[in-house]
Amino acid sequence: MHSYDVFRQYERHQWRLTDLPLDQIDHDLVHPDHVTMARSAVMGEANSIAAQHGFFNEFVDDYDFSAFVTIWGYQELQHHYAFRAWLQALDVPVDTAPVDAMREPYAPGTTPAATLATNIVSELTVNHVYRALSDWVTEPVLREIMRIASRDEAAHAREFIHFTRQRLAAHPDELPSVLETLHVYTSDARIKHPVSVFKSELPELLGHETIDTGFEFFLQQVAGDGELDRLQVKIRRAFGTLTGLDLGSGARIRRALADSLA
Amino acid sequence: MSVSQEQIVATVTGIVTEELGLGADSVAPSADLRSLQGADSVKVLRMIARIERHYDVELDDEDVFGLSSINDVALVVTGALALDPA
Repeated sequence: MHSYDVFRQYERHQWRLTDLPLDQIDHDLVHPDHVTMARSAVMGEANSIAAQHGFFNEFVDDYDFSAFVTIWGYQELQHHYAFRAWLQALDVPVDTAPVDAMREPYAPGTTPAATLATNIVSELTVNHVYRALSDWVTEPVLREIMRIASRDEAAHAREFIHFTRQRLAAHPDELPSVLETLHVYTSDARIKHPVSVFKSELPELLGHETIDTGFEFFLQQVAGDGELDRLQVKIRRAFGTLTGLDLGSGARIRRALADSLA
Repeated sequence: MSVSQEQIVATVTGIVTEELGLGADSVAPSADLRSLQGADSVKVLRMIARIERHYDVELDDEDVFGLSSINDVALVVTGALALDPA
């Protein structure tokens, strides 16, 4: 089972919340924007419970992937708690209601492969943004949390790519839904993330930081020119490798979609 | 490819109605694609993809997102084929 290999690999690289040197936070280097970023990350990572709920429902016939979801879910919850712990060490409160609201389940994807594809986009996006933010953040403990979270998200992306490839091999009829997903998430002039797509309308989030708070700040204050393009190219390239198709632009994705529907 | 604007409108209409499972005469060229019965963003994406493939053209993303009617689609396809609108 692939999840068994992943489990053993993750065990070798597993970090613990208690490894974080929260007593060494350099308060002089904490900027209000760091707090905003951490609160935004708390909200983004809070969605993993609902995501697990969705995966378990949608993949009732796939023990191996479900086992991976358990491993993945632990790490995503760990990220949530790591950012919370950093905020807590600074006596910055995290409101309960918006986090609780993120538990709400959401509708499954158009196909199981589309659901997996959505998560490839999600992991690659957060990997990219955390990595860039870890270079920007001056407070060393938050910088370290961003760095290890980014590394974890990259590993998650690899596994979602594996399971999507496996799913498409068994269900090639789901390819159009994967291409549609890719087009939807890489054609906007902003970072489009599944958590935002599915959860941004929750009334409990009004007036609070959301995952979009961090993405907007990242694009406006941290990212250089062309950063969004680089992220979208990275995502398209990953899907190109996954499918063996030329998906280098919106038009190329649409052509591949039309070919797959023909 | 030599093709008139009217032919393009007719072809686009055919693809749109086929994608939505509507009668060929039930959709006006000026109708809002996203408001048609059964239409959603994914179906509109599929329509555009099939239209680009049919004419072997690649439309600019900015053009694609600005399309609202069959007439709009026909115009950008015409442009892509380097034809003058009739």
